[in-house]
Amino acid sequence: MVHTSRDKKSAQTAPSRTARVGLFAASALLLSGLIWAPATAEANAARQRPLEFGFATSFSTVAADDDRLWLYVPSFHGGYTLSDELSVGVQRITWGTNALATGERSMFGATPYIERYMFLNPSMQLYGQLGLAWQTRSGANLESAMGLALSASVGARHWIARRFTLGYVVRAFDVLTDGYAMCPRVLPGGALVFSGGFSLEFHI
Amino acid sequence: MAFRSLIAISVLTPALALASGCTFFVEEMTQERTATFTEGGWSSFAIVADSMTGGLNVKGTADSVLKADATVAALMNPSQADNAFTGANLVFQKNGSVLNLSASAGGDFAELLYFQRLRIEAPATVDLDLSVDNTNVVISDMAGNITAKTGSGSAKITTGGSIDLTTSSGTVIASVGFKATVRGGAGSINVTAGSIVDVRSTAGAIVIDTPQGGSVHSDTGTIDLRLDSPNFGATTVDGTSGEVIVRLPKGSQYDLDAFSATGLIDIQVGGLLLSEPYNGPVNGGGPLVKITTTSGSVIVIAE
Repeated sequence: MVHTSRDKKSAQTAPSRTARVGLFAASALLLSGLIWAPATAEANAARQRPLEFGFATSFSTVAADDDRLWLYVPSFHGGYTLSDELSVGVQRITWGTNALATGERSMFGATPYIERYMFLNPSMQLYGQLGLAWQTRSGANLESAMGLALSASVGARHWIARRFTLGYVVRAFDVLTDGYAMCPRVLPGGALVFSGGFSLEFHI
Repeated sequence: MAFRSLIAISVLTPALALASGCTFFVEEMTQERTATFTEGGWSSFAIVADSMTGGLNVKGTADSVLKADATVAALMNPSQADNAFTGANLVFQKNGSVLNLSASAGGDFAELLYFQRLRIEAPATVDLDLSVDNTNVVISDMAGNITAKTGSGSAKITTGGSIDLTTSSGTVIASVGFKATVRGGAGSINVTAGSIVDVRSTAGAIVIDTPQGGSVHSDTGTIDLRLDSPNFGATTVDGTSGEVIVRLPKGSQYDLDAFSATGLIDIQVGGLLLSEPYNGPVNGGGPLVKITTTSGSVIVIAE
């Protein structure tokens, strides 16, 4: 017999998820309004130092038997500011191994993206991103596989000394292929993941 | 405008981050699997299974067969649950004298399967080779030698043989019949060994009972070493900032070299009552007991 997390504590997880979804929807609506508000006319730090690279990490959870299972993605990224409103780059450059029942599965992935941003003031940058996540997986006595997922993010960067930024981001991630590895597990096709995370970037 | 926006962003974005962390159309599905291996001709059992939230439990028995009881799991859409575990079975593979346990998985969902929990009943005399990162491990009633890598999970081990254990941050509690070799990180280490010890830790507290001595090192943690036989051999205890306590049998004969660069020293053995470094014989001299710290205090007492 296949057991699911609904066999245990389902009554406790359902209200929590509903509350989270409601809060997410309300916050996303309000934040998206701020993103599309008129940008400040002050100096654009991103244009002055268009090349960026940095490190980020994001977290999410999945309903599991006893509790929730944590998923996490530490990664590197790099980008380039094209104009007063647009940037492009590659994010979630990450690699590692997952322990499967058949052995260790290696993976490498990256997500090219395009970004629309605005500055509320010289030190506060808001942005929205669209990306296509790509991943390759091999090992564990299984055939090699490729993963694809759609990625949509909204976030904010706080500029420090006009060279560094501390950022936080919320991302929706829709798995398009049969599988996509997100440490420490592999997600099935059709999974929709909402994650939150932080980043540190260096701009030159 | 900017100030209100900053306030709004500062409140809303963390709220978004907290509100997210949901994964839809996916839940953890589990199914039980059991297997028994009855063939002979093997002397060592090996498994690689990381991040098992339910832990690994190995129990030694007087039987000559090996029994495995596993919970196999997958992150799945509940509507596909029945198909997910088709073809998933425990598999034993014998490579020479080593018996390996893994799982076979067929079909489209093979990549999603992982061990959530594993219970093994093995012949007590076999050796174990475990690589179970981020998994709590309990090994009991064994008599063979155990090699294990546990990562952040805790390890509780009882064996009549020797152990060679590496852990990054997990705690270790071990009762070992012969030699204990332990490499630890932030977690505490508590070892009772029947032979010599070789224990190193970065920050975790170390407590050791051994009749034969050996080598003990901690970067920042405390060390409490008891030599519980008068026939111990050469012993080295090396700390940095943590307190070091060495307990020696009353009347035992050894050479003592106790030193701390800046820490307090308290030596109460063999008629000596010292609060300064000492390098010389105790009760006539014998194997060398060398104790050094940088800033941690050194306490040497007879029990």
